[in-house]
Amino acid sequence: MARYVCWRLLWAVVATCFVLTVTFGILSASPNPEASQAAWEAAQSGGDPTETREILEQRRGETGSIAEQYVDYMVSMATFDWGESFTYNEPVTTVIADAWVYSAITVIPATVLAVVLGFAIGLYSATHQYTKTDYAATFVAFFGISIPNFWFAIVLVLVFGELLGLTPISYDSEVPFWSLAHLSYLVLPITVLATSAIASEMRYARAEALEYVGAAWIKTARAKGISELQVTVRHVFRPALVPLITILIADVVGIIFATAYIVEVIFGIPGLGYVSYQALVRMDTPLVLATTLIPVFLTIVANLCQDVAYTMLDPRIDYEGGSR
Amino acid sequence: MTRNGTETDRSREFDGDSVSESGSDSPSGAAPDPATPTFDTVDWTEYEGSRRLTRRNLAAVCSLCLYAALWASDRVVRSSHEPLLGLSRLDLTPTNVDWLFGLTLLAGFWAVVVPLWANPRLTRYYWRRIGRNRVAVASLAFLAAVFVVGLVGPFVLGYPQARWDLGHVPPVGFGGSWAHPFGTTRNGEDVLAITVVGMRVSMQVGLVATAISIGLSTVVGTTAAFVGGRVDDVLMRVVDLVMTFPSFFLVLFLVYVYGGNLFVLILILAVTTWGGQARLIRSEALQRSTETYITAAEAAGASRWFVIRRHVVPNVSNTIITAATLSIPVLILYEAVVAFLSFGDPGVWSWGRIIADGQTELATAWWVSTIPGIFLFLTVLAFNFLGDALRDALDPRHEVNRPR
Amino acid sequence: MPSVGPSHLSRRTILAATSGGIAGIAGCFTDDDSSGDGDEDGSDNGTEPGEVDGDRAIRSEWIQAVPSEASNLSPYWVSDYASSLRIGLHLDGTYTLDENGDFYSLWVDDYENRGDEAYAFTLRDTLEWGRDYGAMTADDWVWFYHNVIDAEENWIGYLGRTDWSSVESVEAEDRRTFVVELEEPDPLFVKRPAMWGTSILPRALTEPYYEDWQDGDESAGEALNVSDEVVEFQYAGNLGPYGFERREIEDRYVATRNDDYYRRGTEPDADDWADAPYFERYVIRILPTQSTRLAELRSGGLTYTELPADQTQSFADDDGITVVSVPTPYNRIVVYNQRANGWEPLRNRGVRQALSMAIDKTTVVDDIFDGNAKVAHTFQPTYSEFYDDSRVTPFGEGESYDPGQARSLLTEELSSEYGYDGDALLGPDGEQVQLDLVYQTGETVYEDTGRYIADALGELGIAVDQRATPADVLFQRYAQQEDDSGNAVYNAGDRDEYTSSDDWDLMWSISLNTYPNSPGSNAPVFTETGSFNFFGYVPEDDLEELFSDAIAANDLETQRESFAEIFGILSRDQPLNFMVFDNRIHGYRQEVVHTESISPSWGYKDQTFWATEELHE
Repeated sequence: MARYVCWRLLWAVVATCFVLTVTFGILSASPNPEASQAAWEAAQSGGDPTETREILEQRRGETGSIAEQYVDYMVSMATFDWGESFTYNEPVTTVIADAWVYSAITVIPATVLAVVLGFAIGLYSATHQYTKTDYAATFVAFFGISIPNFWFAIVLVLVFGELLGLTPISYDSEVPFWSLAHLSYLVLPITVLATSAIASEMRYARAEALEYVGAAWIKTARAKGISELQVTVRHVFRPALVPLITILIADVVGIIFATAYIVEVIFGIPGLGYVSYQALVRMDTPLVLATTLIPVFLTIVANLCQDVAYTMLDPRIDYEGGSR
Repeated sequence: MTRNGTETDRSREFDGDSVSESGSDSPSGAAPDPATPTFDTVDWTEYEGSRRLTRRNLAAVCSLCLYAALWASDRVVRSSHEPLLGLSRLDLTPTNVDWLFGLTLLAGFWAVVVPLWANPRLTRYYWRRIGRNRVAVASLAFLAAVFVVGLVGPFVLGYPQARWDLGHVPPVGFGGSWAHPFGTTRNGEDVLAITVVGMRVSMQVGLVATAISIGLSTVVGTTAAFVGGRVDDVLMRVVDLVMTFPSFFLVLFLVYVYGGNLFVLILILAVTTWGGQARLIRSEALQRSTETYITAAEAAGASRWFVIRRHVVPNVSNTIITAATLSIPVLILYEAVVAFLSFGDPGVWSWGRIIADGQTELATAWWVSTIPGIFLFLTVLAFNFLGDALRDALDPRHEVNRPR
Repeated sequence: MPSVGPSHLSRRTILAATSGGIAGIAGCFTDDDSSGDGDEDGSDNGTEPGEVDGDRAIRSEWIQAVPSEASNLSPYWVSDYASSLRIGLHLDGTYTLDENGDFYSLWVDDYENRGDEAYAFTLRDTLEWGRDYGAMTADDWVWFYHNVIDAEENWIGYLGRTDWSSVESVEAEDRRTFVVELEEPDPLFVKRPAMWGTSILPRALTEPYYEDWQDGDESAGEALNVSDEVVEFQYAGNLGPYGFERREIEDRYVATRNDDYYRRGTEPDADDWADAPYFERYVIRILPTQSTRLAELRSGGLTYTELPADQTQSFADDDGITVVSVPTPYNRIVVYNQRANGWEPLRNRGVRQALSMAIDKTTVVDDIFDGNAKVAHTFQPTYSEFYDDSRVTPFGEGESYDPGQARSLLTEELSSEYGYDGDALLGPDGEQVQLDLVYQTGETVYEDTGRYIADALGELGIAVDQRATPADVLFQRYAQQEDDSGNAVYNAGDRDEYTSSDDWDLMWSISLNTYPNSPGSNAPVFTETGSFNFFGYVPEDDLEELFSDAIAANDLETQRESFAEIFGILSRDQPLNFMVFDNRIHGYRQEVVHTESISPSWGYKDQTFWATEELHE
């Protein structure tokens, strides 16, 4: 077991290095918008585009060869000295720490909501297959993954924000953090995020439940004469809950970097998804590398935790036995 | 490691981990078991060498060859027009997407339709199981309609033509006329015509990208499961990478740099999304590989590749088909998001593009993005319902004893 | 949206662009022959100074939205609009140009032209730096010139150094006055971006870093530009209308009213500046999605934001909003690739004329830009004093838009290998001629016009393949060439030999400054060896000589004559389709009172805009 965990941890490091290398490669192969624009303007007014580009690259410390830069960045990543973001002139860690809060206040409630609703629908759907209410519940669950979420978000803004005036249109970071008003700013983003995540939770819950519904201990439980609700909660829900917790980390990361980006762009929330994408587009290398590093590492560790959790829960699995 | 113990992803939602009922009555039935245990020595070179050219296989191969020949002749004609096809410039116009689409349909025909046709008993069995889910049946009908309209419609309605002086016209019932039942865009293009063309393009995106990614994941998943050992380790770690890479940004970034050409977009979508499916297929294949008919084939001396091709792949085909059905809607939506971020292909009307295009004017001309949006929504919804129904129907372990 | 749009214009470009109006600007707005009535609708509303009476009370907030975060906050590094906007809140800069293109005093009280060869600039005596840096004196400027502009190496990374190439020296005359001496006489120096609008850092702040650099610290320049003192404008003192409050990354930038603002109640226009600025807080919000910005403006969450051309009509109809559509000297063009990787017949003037003739610019202006643009026939706006209508050959407007004639011209000009088969123009290989049209992503008008061009050329029997990429990718793949030493430049040399990495035929959507103040600056674009001739134009006439003659001429009349000739030749030659001059469109809450009239210099006095009542909350 210990050997296995060590091996996987080592792998996590290797994988992270690999992903960083790929990211760095992509970045160094792409144009830098700022330098590109400045060089373009310089050439038009009779200046020297090459010189302009050099000035801008020098500002970013992009001197030296690609190989030197690569080594520099990898060393600074490894030593947790992540440096300063080019675009914001602030330490990368500060940028991430600030942005993280904004992502968390939307993603965490949305995930909780999605899990609760998704599980409720999933369990219901598994125990009441092919009834009208099952179809309706499934429809609710599928709604979010079937609608382009950028479109949904904009329609929500126009309808609830502009037409009805019930909610604010865009996020305002000046609202006191612990206040009811703050909540009103978060309702729409959380709705969009949550609806887009319900379906996967619901599928998971449903598959788990379907598996356990037919299991022997459920039959025993029924035979004992406990109510259906108790069967569902105690014997179906509980065993399905354990793997869920480990899955959540991967889920949250996934949501932040795909759906949350769209939501943040539309509602003007300065969260992690948006900041990382901006960093990518602006070729802010230190920030890009740091924002890639974190989710990759988190996902890999989450995978590991999950695997370890399975071993503890399921005695049939044996990591020491070699492969197959 | 054993069985699917190390499965970490959502594959559990599909397969569970009980090695249960499903015996060797391989439900796809596509392959009659060649290794019926006799005590004679099986001449495997004959089996593998001849590749069992049944009439059906022959027809499939022939049709593919014919298709390839058609494609090649088209290439030759084109190459005279464009002599230099540099690598930096993937000049693959929508025609190439059309070719790939055709190929996908052809492959789908031989891999799904023909086996079903050949096994009427099995087909009826599946149909009964799916039929229990009425919404799934309705979804199937809707998708079939969308598919047919998408294929035929553009020839009837024509490609949307801009009428620059016309501007916005609202749909029928909102002040518009039957000349443009769904209204027009700000450039006077008929929204109905765009919706119909968009059906085709969105189907192409969904189906072609899925075909590629499913193909990739099937090869990787089954190989990993059956060859095992180092190969398995390496392949699964590659899958890990594909899955952990923030693929959404990768997609956006690649499109940013290499342009939103539809063909390039399809390729990018396909190669960034196969990881999860590969895991799923591997775990399914791992379960199958412990079953008796495989052991029997191995004991009789069949080579690994033969076993994979003849036994493992057909027996995980249920999983593959389900995964494919569920990946199509994801990719269709992905394309829409890319279009929203203004990286879409300006030469092609997809649903994603018209929705993204119209979203800037939702406040003044709601119909431009809402009407195609509803179609996209229904289509994606239908795929999701159908996918779940297929999973229930094709995976015997999800047999449900309805509590009554 | 992560788009590289107008928000990436640099300070210099913006400055140079706003320098438009000299002659005929008033006529530009009163002539009613123009089709665009949309642009006049909204602007009747309170844009005339003195029209609105009322007290100029100080309101609590001005909130405006921009699509992207600023990239630099040092005046030496600024290269984008979002950044120059912020710097402008804290530093006014030397002086600006008013609606007539004349000197308008800010830091510099007045200037004196000493025979076109030297200019003396006198600073106001109320200018104070922040911290303990004391007053801004001529010495700060002299030091800036000698140690930043004229330093042997660009240690600070200042992009504006080339603007100063014509300057010989800068010397202090007294405490407040410094003299800029030029290498050659230049009657228009004051309107060039060297001194105009320039901001500097105090000598006392910069000097220690300079010494570090001299001691061998290569990164001293960078250290200065990213130091807290610089990015938080601690040095700005009373030099701008607002003081720095805080910055939330990718979210907002907040500045508070500067109580000691030097410009308050001073001439010129002391009335307008009486209590300026008129808002306690100035908030810049970053809202990447256009529909969110527009919804906020409609519902009153914003005081001001820029509007997209194709949606101004609905805002003009909105009583709560004032639309100000301002002409720019920016020419948005369709470039014909005459290099070896373009369609070879594009080197033929007749073919280019035929293509230009087949594209109706009126449709583009009226139906796509909704009237927020003007048809262009040459590389100079009609209000420029160097524009002479009688010498310009029009293509693609009114009678000069004629697809039928375009088709016959094309048949005439193309070699006999080309020919029409029904409606399709067939090339030597018997296939339909297909051209690649590339343009940038980001705005719907780019895409719409791209499709219109494809349609219009389709009428000529030419198939068009469209490709849209972000602007920087567009430059890199289709405009840049690699010269012999491996540098990426925009004109590496002979058009048969040097080409961009990717093939293209037509490039739409890029927008170039036409420098109506000093049209000589256009030489890099239109001469064979010009640094910006990325499209391989080889003029038949000797444009190089014409340009240098025109620049060297020292009386305005000769200059006018020469430039009118050049712009006549360009309109006939059609090295590119000049397409349109598009407007910049501003949307304000209706309560905002403007203190200037519409001109290409719009906003030069925007710190004196005030509001009739509280705008927010």
